[in-house]
Amino acid sequence: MPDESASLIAKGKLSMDATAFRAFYEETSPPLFAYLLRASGERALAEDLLQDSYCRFLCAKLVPEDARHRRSYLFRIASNLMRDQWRNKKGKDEVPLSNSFPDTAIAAHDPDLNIQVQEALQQLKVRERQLLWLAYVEEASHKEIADSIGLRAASVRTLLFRARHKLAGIIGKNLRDLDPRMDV
Amino acid sequence: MNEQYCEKEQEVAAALAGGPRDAEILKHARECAVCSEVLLVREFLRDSSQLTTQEIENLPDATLVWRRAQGTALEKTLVRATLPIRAVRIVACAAGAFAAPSLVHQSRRLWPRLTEVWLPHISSTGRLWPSGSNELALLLAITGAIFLIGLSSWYMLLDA
Repeated sequence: MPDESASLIAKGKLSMDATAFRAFYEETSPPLFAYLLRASGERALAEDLLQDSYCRFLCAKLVPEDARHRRSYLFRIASNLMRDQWRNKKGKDEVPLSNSFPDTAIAAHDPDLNIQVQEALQQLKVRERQLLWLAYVEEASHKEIADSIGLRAASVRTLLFRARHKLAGIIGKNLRDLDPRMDV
Repeated sequence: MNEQYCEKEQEVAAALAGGPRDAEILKHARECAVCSEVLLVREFLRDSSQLTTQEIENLPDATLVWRRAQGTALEKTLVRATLPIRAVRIVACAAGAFAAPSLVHQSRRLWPRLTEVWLPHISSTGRLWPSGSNELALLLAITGAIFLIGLSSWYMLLDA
């Protein structure tokens, strides 16, 4: 009986029913995990953040009805959790996320791409990775990015430009190193 | 570093995202320094956004996440439900802490009455120790009781 009453209490408090959640999870968990893995650089951390993000999402009182906004809301939760994690690590004088990029973090299909991605992303800050990912993989608007990362919308354009320029420089350098005749 | 911005940047991004692929936009994307950078970075990141089958299979099961969320929701509900109890406990402890000095002060006035009421009773029930030490025993008992009340209040506050 206690289990039944407990599930009844909890049932009314989640923002989705089990069937709807399963469909939403199957649709959004791979891109969310890719984002968390590439931005944080740690597999175990990305897995923890993934579960925490969905827990917070389900326990939230006001979840958007629209599918795109719902997805954006989930990414915002994940970004906030990642930022909290980064701040905690920084506060404890542990290795910052941007420097803790193990070899196992990236597992792309193409081994050459694997190395390139790993090397390139390693040289970016966590926030730069978040910005670029949200802008060019998730195709979020500047306002959505600002909401997700906790920045002003006006700052996003400038920061995005800097991050993009930095990554383009790194990619260009990597390509030139691979083939000196190449002009990027 | 000079910041550059192209007005067609958003159009290029939209075209790459699966929107209408206007030939003019794509030509512009290849020629414009800003847009070609967008193109390069976007393609690079998109290639790395694909997870392997193994990675997708290793993702936690939806049921597991759902149950964990249920547990979290239940925990939150319980915290909310017991909030009045915890609030009353804290108020009681605070009131006790404020009232303690006043109680000690008042007990000085009550002390002669207490000894009048209790001492003859204690003395008549049995003389386990010399009658002169009864007053001291009573004082010790009251002090002990106050100390224990304080200790239990502190424990309750810790628990809250």
